Formats: sequence, structure tokens, C-alpha cells
Amino acid sequence: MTCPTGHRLFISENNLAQTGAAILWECLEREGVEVVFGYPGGAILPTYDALEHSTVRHVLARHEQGAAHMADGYARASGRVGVVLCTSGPGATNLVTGLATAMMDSVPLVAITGQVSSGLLGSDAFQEVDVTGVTLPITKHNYLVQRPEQIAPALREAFALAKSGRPGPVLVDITKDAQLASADLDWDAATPSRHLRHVPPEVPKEQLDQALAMLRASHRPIILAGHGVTLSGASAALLRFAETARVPVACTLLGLDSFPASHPLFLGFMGMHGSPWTNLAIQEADLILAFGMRFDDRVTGDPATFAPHASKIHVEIDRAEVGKIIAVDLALQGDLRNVLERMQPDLAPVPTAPWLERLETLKGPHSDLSAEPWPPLPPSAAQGPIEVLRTLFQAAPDAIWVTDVGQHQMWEAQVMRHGRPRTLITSGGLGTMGFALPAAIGAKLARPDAEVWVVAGDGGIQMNSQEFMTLVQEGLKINVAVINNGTLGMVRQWQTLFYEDRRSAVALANPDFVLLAQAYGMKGMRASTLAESAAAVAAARACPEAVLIDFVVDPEAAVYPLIPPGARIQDMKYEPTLPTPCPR
Amino acid sequence: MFRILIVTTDNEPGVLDRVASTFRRRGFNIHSLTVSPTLDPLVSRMTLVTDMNARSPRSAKAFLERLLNVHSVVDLTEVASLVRDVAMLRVRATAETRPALFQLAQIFQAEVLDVSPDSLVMSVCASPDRVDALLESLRPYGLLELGRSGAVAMQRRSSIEVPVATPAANEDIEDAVSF
Repeated sequence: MTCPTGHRLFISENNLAQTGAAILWECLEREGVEVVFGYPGGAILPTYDALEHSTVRHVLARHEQGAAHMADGYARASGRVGVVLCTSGPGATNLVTGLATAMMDSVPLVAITGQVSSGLLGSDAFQEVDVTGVTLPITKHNYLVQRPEQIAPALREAFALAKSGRPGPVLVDITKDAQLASADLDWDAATPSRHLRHVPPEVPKEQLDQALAMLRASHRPIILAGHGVTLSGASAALLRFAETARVPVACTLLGLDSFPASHPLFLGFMGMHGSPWTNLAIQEADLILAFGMRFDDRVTGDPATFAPHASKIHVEIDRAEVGKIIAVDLALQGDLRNVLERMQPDLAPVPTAPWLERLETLKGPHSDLSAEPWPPLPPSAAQGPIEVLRTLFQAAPDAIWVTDVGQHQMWEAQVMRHGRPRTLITSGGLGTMGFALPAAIGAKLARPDAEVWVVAGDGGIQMNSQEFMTLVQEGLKINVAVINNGTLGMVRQWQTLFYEDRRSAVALANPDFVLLAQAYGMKGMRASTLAESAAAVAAARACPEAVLIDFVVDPEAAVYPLIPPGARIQDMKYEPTLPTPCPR
Repeated sequence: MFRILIVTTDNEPGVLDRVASTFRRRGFNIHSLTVSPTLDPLVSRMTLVTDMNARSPRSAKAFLERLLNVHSVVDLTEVASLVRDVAMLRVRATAETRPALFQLAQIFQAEVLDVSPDSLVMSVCASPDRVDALLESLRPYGLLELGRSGAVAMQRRSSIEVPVATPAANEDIEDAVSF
């Protein structure tokens, strides 16, 4: 017997009830979930048994961590809630890194884990782990559900909570007997409300006026755009705001795709590996407009000397972030888009011409990024990783770039020029190696028409390389750029700079990545010169199948400039030749 | 300094864990913590006394308010409030010292609950500093065992505290929260 949504109906005493498993799938469908990333196992078997009656697509990962990052990539690329499903015990503990990654970067996820039957809870049963305890500090909230009638309220609240306020991951742990037992699904009675408890009300008008007055009085204002811009859908509002007020925009790593890089007011990447002119501009500014960012230590360096001449306005939805690292003069707690759109009518141009002129001086030869000619690449030149990234960007400027963690991630941030929101997907806060490949699978499923590129190091790609098989099984066209320097480059660089070049445990013996790709059923290519690289990128883009390109690059290349951890911005270390950002 | 937070939460399993975990995670030290249901059985109330040297009290409140189960967080430190702490203690007592101990108990409005040949048990419900004062007075006699409830606190609505008939009942508001 099936219900109108196609679910099997299990006849119980009142002839109306469905199993908890069927309720679960119906809830996911009603929440608009199209795809779930998961891995089956004992305690979630009843839910997997009911999957065939659902319209939800299930993507079988090869590791629960991979599934979590896929859901994360899906959420980042689409702005919707990503869903990951797995079993109890080791399945659930394998989610930990994925949940922590999403928590740090404010990514809306719902993780559903099976749990041993309620009668066995606390008995150290097979594959039992206290997953709500384990994930307590790395989720916005979590639930232990032991009865079928609790499934709908928990799931509905989980979805509402994951995307409300500052988004984040929510975990719902459901015992096996709750999945098997039957209950009525009362959708309306399960309507959540508690998630609204701490969503701030609209920012008062007087505070907006105060911010506008501070802006009017400033001479050297600068906007610091963080992930919150994209999360609140405020990119267009930010563009209007910056253009009207004539205020330059510096971006955090996760804010880089929130403002068009070709825009004359775009200042670029700030922080530890940010552009010198961006960081120096922050130090010279007299007003900081911090929009949806949290003054991470990779942004501020030494907080005591950060932006010493600036008054600071912080627009942030999470009050716990206000004043956490940097004391601010005015805090507007609320949704950024709402704040910007309400300020817009009263916004007037700020006389920033001398300030913008000063910034042009700071930029020096990189003054007009949008008009800068493409630097010619001599075909015989030794292949540097930055040149490889330039080649990639030149070929596919509008692709979604999913980067892993390390040197290549910073080079990407320095040279790629993002034009639209949700075109850079990277693990910023947690810095999770192994993130890129599975996250790209999620991104491709969210945006099937987009060109999706993974950029990963030879270390990081091996942390979740099992997901190559998921990619192939799902028939996804994703290109994978392995920036292969045979070493854990960022660690090696820090050992060189801060540990007197004592290279400890950084040399990597690697598999033949071309053969590895072929073993998974992908195309594999190797590119050791810039000429080969350009050809390989063109071939990969033309190929209908997934392609891995093994870019063999200079193992000694390092990321510059660099602000040593905890140091003052003015202590930035330069290399003789700065990486030139790509024109757009 | 110590701060007193009143945290109202859903009365659900695991909420105490979430609150305590938030404090542990952010490096705040919990000096004392009491929990009980309120007049509404679905709501719990915690009185949390914390040592706030590390970070501002504002962020502790904000971190707690991130929790789904938390309804409200009120910082009583800078408002007029009443604080009470229950202590039970065993003190060495001989035939010679017993009268003096009874006298002290009377002064501090402590109750003598049990008398044995070599000790006695008292309980006291008072502001934390008064409990401390009682303990100091008893220490020379030989304190053998001590259990304290931790603070329970409530904001004052009136400007005066209703006096209780005891010589030491003239504590002012500052005393009540200063520890």
C-alpha cells in the first residue's frame, strides 16, 4: 500500500500510521530535499529500506566524511540545506570533521544518523556511540530521537535551525526502533518555532543612522566583506552600497566571491596571505565596515595593532562574534542584506577620491586590475604553481572553484578573480584537507550546468581520494587539478620560515595520479610545462568525462606575502616578485 | 571577579551538558551551578556563578544565547539581586565547645541538625559571604566536612531587602553579590 507521495504505508492499529523511516523520507521531500549524501549501515537500515519509495536522490559516498563534505559543497553552491545520512557508531564519528568544517564556515547542514535501538542505549551495544555528546560542540544543535512521532518535529526544527540566523550544521540521531515503529505524521503540529528564539529582530533605524553618520564623517573608509555577504544573499546590495558610497571592498577568504573582482572598488584578499595593498589599506583606514565577517586570526594578525586608526562598525547576525576579537564602536546585530538595503536610500557618496588615489599608489603596478594585460607565459618557462592557477583561470574564469587546503588554496585566493557569489568553495575556518573533492561532487549536483574544478594539493587529494569512485559512479563531469609538488608545501614553507628549514615529515611519495584516475575510470593527464598545462586544461574542458590533471610544479615555491601568525600587519614578509592577480 | 547569570532553558535532557560544554569550550570557569525546574515544568532555571577573568561577560551571555534550548540569560552582577547559598557542615564538637558552637549557629541563623559525642552537623541558608563568615568562625573548632549548594539568585524588584531578625542580617546589595 502506498500513500499519495509514493511512500509505503505500514498498517498499524489506527490504520493511518507510517513507519518512522517513511516519515523521515516524507519530511525530507516536504523540506524540498532533492539529494542526500550517505552511507548505509546497521542502525540506519530501516531508513535505507524505505529509500526506494522516495523521490530523493541518494548519492553513495565511499566514506562518511566524504558524504558530509559533499552535503557541505552542495549547500555552499546552492544556498540550500545539505543533507548527509549514515549509520551509528563509526559512521557517525566519521562525520565529525565534516560537521566541524560546516560549523566553522556557517554552512547549513542536516546530518541524520542511525542509532542503536532505544533499549540498548547506554549499554555499549555494537556500533553504539554517544553521537549527540560527541558532536555537541560542532553542531548548532543536535537531537536524540527515540520515538517515531518525534522524527518530524526534530527534522523540521533541524532544517529551520540549520538555515536561520547564522547557518550551521544540525544533527538528528534516530534510534533504530524509532525508524521501525509507526506513528502518524502530523506535519503542521511539527511546525518549528524555537529556532526563532535567538534570531535578532530588525536593526533599529537609529543604529542605521548612526552608521551612516560615521560613514559620512569618514575620509578613509573600507568595507571588509566576509562569508556573511553570500550567506545573507547580500552581494547585489553590497555592490550598490559600495558604488553609491564609493567605498573600497576588501574580502576575507570566504568573502572573495561576494564582490566582483573586476570592479574598480575591489581591493582583494586580506589577511595572512592577502595583498599587501589590501592589508596596508586596512591599517590606514579611518573607518572599518565589517560586513558578515568575524575578525579571524588569519585576517587580523595581532589584534592589538589591527586597523589602529579606524572606527569600526560590525554588521553581524551572531552577537557572540561582536567584540570577540576586536572591540567595535558600533555593532549592528542583524541580517546584512536587510541592513544594507535599508541604509541604501539614505546613502550618499563619501568624498573618498583622495583615499582611492592613495590606494592606487599602494597597489603600484597592479593599479588597474581589470585592464592589466595578461602576462605572456613563455612556453619554455619552468612551471610555477601560480602560473598553473593563472592558466586554469584564464581557461575557465566563470567556473566554480573548489579548493582544498594549503598553498594552492592561498594562490587561488590571490590570483583567481571571482565574478559571482558561490564560485569559490573552500574550507576557510577549519582548514580541512581532503575537503575539495567531495565538496565539488556536492557542488556539481547542486549546479549541474556549472563548470566545476577541484584544485587540490598532492597531499590533500589523497585524504578523500576514495570519492573519485563516487564521482564516476554518479557520472559527474568534474575536472580535478592536482597541484603536485611532492611535498606538504604549506607545512614545508612554515618549517622553512619558522623552524630554520628543518623539514620534518613533509616529503610525499605519491601514487601515479594519472594511473590512479584511470583506475577509477576517469581520464588522467600529466602536465609538467606551461605549454603542456595549457593544452591539458583545454583537453580536460573539452572531454565529456571527469578528468584529473597532475600538474607537476616547482616544489620550492612558497606563498607570499605572508604575515607571520600573531604578528602585526606591517611585519608582512614579501618575496621579491609578488604574484600578479589575474585580469578579468 | 565573579558574575551571576540566571539562565532559563528548556527542561530537557542534555541541556545542562550544552550549557556546561559552552563554558568549557570558551574557557570560562564555572564556580557554581544550580539547576531546577521553575513554576513552568517545561522550563528550567540555572544560577551560574562564573569567574570572568578570561573574557568579557557579554560574550559568555552571547555564547549561551546561541544555544537553541536557552530562553534567556540575565546577568545579575550589576543589578540589585538576592543570592542564597545552602551549606551543610560537620564541625568537631566537645562538651566544652558545644555551647559556643550553638551560640555561633544562633548568630548565623544556622540550624543544628545532628549532635554526636565528638561533632555536630549544621545547615545554613544565607548569602555566600555570610556562609563564608560562618565557616571562618567555625574553622578554629575543626571543620570535618562541608557541602555547599552553590548560589541561587533572584533579581530584586524592591529597593530594600526585607529584614530578618538576626544581628547580622544587615547585609547590603553589594555584599550579596561580592562573595
